[in-house]
Amino acid sequence: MPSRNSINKPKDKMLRNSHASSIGKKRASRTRESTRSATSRYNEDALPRPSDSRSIAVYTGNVSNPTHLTTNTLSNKKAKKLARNQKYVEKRLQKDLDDQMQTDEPKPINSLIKLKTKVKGENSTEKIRKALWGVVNGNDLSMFKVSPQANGTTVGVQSF
Amino acid sequence: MNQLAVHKDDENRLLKTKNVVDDIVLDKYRTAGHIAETGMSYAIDLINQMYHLQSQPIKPISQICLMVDSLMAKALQRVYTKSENNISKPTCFNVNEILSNYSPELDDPIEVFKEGDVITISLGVSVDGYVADSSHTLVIYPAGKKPVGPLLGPKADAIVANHYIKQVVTSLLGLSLVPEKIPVEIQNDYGRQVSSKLLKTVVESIAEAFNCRVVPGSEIRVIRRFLSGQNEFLQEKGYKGIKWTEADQEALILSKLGLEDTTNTNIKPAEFFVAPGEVYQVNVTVASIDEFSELGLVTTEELNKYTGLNNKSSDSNMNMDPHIFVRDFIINYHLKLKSSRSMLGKIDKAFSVFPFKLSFLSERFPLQDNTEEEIEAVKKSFTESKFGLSEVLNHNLINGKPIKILKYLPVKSILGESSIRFNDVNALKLIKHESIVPTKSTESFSVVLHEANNEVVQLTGSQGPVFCQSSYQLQNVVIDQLIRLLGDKYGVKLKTVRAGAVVSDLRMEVKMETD
Repeated sequence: MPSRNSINKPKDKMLRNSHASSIGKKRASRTRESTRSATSRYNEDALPRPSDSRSIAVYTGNVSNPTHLTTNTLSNKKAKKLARNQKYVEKRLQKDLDDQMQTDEPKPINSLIKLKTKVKGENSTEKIRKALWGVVNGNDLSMFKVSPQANGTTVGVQSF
Repeated sequence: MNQLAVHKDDENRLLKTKNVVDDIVLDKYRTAGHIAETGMSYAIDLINQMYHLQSQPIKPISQICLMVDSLMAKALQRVYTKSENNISKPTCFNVNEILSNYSPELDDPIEVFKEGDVITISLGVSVDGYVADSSHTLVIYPAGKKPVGPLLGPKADAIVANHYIKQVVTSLLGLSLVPEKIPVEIQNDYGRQVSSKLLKTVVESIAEAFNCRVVPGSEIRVIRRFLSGQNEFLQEKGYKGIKWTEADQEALILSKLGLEDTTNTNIKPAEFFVAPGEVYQVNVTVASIDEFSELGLVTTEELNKYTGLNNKSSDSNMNMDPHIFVRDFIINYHLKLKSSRSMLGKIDKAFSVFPFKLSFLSERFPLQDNTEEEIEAVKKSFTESKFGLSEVLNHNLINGKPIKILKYLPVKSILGESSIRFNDVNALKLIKHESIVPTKSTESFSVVLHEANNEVVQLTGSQGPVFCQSSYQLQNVVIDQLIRLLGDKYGVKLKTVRAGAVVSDLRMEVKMETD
């Protein structure tokens, strides 16, 4: 491409580029900081104005997605660290709880609630794991088996 | 996931006013049901003539798919000509372990069925956006005038279970119109209402009685105009329905052990009540777990060209790449190739939000006379459309619907992982422990709960089950009672849309009948 100082400099191209970048910046800033007034079309209470577009627009707000799968993996080191710290935290909270039981002194409610749910959750998870391992190892599948009946069930007709 | 936002008053018009089941809307639904039913009975006829009665030479699956689609497309051109009519689900023949979306194209390796194959035919049409989908499960018997005997074993268990599920779900949905007839045993705290929990429990208990599991992805849902779950890549606003996942099987196993997983943080879907005036689509697949001695979960796996090769249950060379595509209107991109642009224009115009196959893009579709010359012409058109396809596909302007197969995952291998919950463990790691589930049965149908006449209009799914015998038996009195209520003079009034006559090859008479 000829240089900026050459006789046949690409004036048109440069102007176009600078124009494009400037309107691009404007557009980006518009989307970054919303300049819509309180009665915009996205305000649920606002009545639609006749000038409002009726076309379908892309919704960029939050979408709750309950079945989200995380792709982050914990490194071994981090996992160990977390597990260790958790143990200390629980021990400390348990101690706090015991102290509180003895002294009957009011404590911040938050910490107590946290402790309670935590303990319950872990216990049930362990219980479930234990029970499932029991079934898997013992191969005691009788409760999961359905026994066939003498009569059985016949459906359909004998023709094509 | 992306979501579309629509202006408030448009939303009211599209989602509410247009979905009130009045005479015109009901007629559109019934027309859709009629065409889908005719397509289904035509497909069943073709299978019977080719494989059982042997009165026709056996054609490849790809050609049968195209013939059934042509029949429906031609019928759609003749009804409500001013509105947008589409095939809402291209005809699929899901064989054995394949769960969904297997609809080969003419240029794929030639595939035919084998004796003993369990086939699910799946199709659907939309008239002005009002959809009627249908799936039915068949078995290839030895050739002859009639089946020599009933089908036995796990395959039969799944088919019988699904037959009962179909009846009971229709009955339960219909009971919302006549709540005074809801049996006392199943009335809940809310009184005489049909709740999602009740539907779910009943379906699961029937499956269990036949030693089957409800396959993840099965659904009982409300459908609305243009919203029938045809595009799983989009999240739907105001979705109302039940969708089974692996977590439901997990809960079932735990409940047997007298435990409940209280730590499951996955948000449970809101419970709902069936309301008169709604239109429901039921799509339930059950798989028999008779042949697995280990405790486990039935799960699904998506295949592609590469993983498909490892998952062949037979020596077939099926093409496991997606055959069915659906437009994603959220994505905007200016395509570079002229052929891609023209293809996208065609797609937007012809198929709107509904799925399609490449053969639908051919100028010779729908087939007029089903001659060799026509088939060759359709085949030839693939070269052009495949040229444009890659760019459109690469920029996600359309999405391919992946072929799914059924897998069985032993609990033991899940316990070996760090978490007990299926949703949390890295499913990829567990794939090596899975084995194929070859026995399943899918039935899907649509019903309109017509409030004005106080009756259930069953749009699709009038086909009875194939001849089979299960060694299990229903032993629940309430379920028996529910089945008896259906179509009874003093129970739930039922009207079924019947299939029309296929006048000659690929031509049908559009004349509606219900009874």
